Amino acid sequence: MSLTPVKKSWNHQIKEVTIGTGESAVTVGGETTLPFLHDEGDMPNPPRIALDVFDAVPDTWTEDLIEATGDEINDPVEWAQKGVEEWGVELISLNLTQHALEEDPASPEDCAKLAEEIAEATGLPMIVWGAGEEEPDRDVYPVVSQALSGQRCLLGSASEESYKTLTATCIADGHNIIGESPIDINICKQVNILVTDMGMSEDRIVVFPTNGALGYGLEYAYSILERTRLAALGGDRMMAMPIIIRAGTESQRSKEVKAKEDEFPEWGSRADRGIVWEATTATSYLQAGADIVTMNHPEAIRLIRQYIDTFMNTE
Amino acid sequence: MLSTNTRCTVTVMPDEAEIECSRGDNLLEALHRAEVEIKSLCGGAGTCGSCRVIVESGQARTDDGDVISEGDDPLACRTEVTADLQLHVPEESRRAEGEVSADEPRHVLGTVRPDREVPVDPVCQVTPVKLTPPSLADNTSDFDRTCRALREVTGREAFSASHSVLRGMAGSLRENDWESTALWVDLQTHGELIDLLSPEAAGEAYGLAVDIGTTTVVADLVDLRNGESLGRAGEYNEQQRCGEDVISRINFASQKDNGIQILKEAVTGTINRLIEQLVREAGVCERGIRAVVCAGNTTMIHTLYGLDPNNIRRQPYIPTVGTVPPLRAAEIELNTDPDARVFSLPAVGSFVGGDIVAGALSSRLTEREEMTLLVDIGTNGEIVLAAGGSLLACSASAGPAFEGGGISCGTRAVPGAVERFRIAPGGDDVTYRTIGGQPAVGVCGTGLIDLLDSLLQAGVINRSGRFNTELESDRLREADEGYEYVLVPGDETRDGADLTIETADIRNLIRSKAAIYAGIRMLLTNLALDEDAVGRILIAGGFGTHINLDAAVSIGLFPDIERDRFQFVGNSALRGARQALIDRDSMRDAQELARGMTYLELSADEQAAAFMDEFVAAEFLPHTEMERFPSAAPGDTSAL
Repeated sequence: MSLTPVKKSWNHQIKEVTIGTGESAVTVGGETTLPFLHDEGDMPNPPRIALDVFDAVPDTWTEDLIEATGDEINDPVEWAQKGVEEWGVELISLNLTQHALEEDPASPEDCAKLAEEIAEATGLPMIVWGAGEEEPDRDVYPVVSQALSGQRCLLGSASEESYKTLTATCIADGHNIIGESPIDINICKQVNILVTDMGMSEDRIVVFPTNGALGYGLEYAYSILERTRLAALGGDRMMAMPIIIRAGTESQRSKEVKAKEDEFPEWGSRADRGIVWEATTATSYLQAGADIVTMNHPEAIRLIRQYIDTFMNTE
Repeated sequence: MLSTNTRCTVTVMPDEAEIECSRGDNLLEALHRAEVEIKSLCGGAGTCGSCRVIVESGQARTDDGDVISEGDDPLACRTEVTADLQLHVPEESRRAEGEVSADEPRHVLGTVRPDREVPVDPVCQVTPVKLTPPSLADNTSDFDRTCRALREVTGREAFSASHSVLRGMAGSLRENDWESTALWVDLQTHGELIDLLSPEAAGEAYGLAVDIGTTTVVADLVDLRNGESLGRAGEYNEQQRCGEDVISRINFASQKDNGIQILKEAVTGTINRLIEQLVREAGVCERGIRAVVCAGNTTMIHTLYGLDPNNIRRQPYIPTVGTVPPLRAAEIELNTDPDARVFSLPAVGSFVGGDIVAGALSSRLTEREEMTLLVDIGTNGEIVLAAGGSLLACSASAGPAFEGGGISCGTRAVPGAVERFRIAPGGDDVTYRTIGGQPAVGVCGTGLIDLLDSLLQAGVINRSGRFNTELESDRLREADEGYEYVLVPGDETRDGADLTIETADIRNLIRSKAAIYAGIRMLLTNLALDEDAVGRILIAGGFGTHINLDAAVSIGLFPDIERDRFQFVGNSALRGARQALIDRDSMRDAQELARGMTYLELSADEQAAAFMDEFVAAEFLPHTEMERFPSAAPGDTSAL
């Protein structure tokens, strides 16, 4: 008795968003199927890994991760360069935090200068995140945006509460925008509507639905990604944006990554835990529909590259 | 122990009313006792802040024992009288005054079609009878003899008689030479004789149909002999001082001493005042009222009969009764013929009451061929979907926002309430119209719908309901919490203060409209139907009479279907009560209708998640699924 495989086909496509210009430009999205189901539709662009780079050494990271990153962690430009040269990443995800310090904050111009230097040193498309604090971010976005004008970066993030400054500046300087929502499919779409209402083109938006790491509400975020993707493939234009997920920074917050070995001897090597936790978080979201994952650990990055290559191999 | 200084006087300004109190009296209760108009939306729970008063002189004490003195502005419900006191009740703490509009709407989009003629066959029947005089050969008792005569005329088998009829029966029959006009009430299982009149008497029999709303009570006086209306009167439900919505009334009943009795007296007091007004204006006698039919939500009916409503709000939401057996008017102290029977239309569940059954009855929902939605935009937001004779109902607790409650600038539809807004792009230029052309006192529900749409179209707010803070208009300014937008400047308002709307108000309105739309969606999706399948939407409620339909659709309150499929039906609950009053078959139909109506409990496990989803999706202007509202004009593309 033969079994006929059931195939689902969709009539709609995820929008393609291009980040960067010239040869290093990266295009994400464009799927006409759920992730990696090459028999059911097309997945013209592989998911991409972006290396998280911070403007100061993150004080919450484990020594293992700091060690794995190397001395370059003290200089964001060198750190980003290492990402290109040694780890082969195709996108830099610059996290600006120093402008939001209470004491002696970095000026918007400092932030812009750093972003420019990294862009120039790596030649890679840039993702730039604010600190997630409305006021300092509002001052920084226009300056950074203008400094990177014309480079078609991906700037984030715009939320339902605060999107106007960033949207306006992205439109003016020709960038893409990240629309952030609090693990809520409705707000995800609402942010897209608000941003496009201001004149942002639909193919310049990447959505960040926010996510937890493995063990920290991953299942719920997974279901939100899946619902978003199903709605998009079912024809909801305002949901059909590529998705960005933060696998690295979220994993770094988990107890399983941070706990010392003498606290939980049965959990094994902390150095290994950090890698596995980040990689597992990333693979889960890739299977849910993530188009870009931002990552930290070089070894986890290597594993995920392999994973993507394997799943994109249609032969 | 009494001492000479246990009495004190509270002087209320600007009324100059003096209230004698005892030390330790609760100030709000004292004000209510003296019938000072003061708001108390939470029923004295200390949570809503609406009963704020200003102390002009003297002293008092808070519940916590803190001293209150001149210049303080305590909540009356949280204040104990300790000494002589002079206080000022500010305008914003006053209950809206004025008569409730009891008129049926006229100038509305769509039309209110008069009901198909209802046959006059009232619950209280006037039947002339001629008895065979008794003899030694026919020694049947007076009562059996009367029943026999009635049976011959009416075909009904069983009759009973009220005590007062029996007391007067022997004399009355003999005085009138065995001829009489019998007044009897059809109790379905049997008829009850409530009066025997002389055959020459005109057989005066009047009936009262009452819509007992949470906010307002409206009554129709009807001549039961021909079904003609003798007048209509409306008044605010006196229970309002015990809380604004049904939940706070239930809390009042369970938490206050004698709470159930206070609620009962408040509502019967309201009805008795309406009776007094109606009989006076019609020039009839109140004892001529022989039957009363009430339509109200389940909580209102419980309070009318003095029943404990507490389980209505507790899971699994079980009322004491759905159908209340008709009681004698004297039993609940209505000022009619004491033997008059008080009927109430049956409820389907705790949150779909006899008012919605009355609405379904008068809208003839079961007879409609086309798929019909009946939407009552009250605090409970009851919605009924009629499809092929079957009825599915839900209650989407919309909150009181569209009745002006919980909105800083909100008011009921009283003179001076703003009912129309136009705001030019940019937000600087606002035009408005008030009811009666009076100085503005607030914005009523109709005005709030118009306002929300105007703010969106003008780019003052975005689709999430947040203010466009980059708006270059002096009308938008920072407030204590967030922003406020000036609707009417102080020199055009009654109390001289700017009339403003705040972010929180807009969020409340959006939540209310989202609840109603989500309720509509839930009914449709439970039957796997689409909005396009709805042939007609009937909008009920005193409120639903002047709505700007385009604005209501544009904010996503109603589905975006052709406007000519909407029909305003006004106070359909009152019409249903009136119909049951003058037509016995309708009373029976209402029972059938309530039994056949399926109640979809939106808070039940299997519905709650889906309802929340629908609700959250609807918390956007017009809706997250914008494509469902093709006619809604695009919003703030002009921003920046």
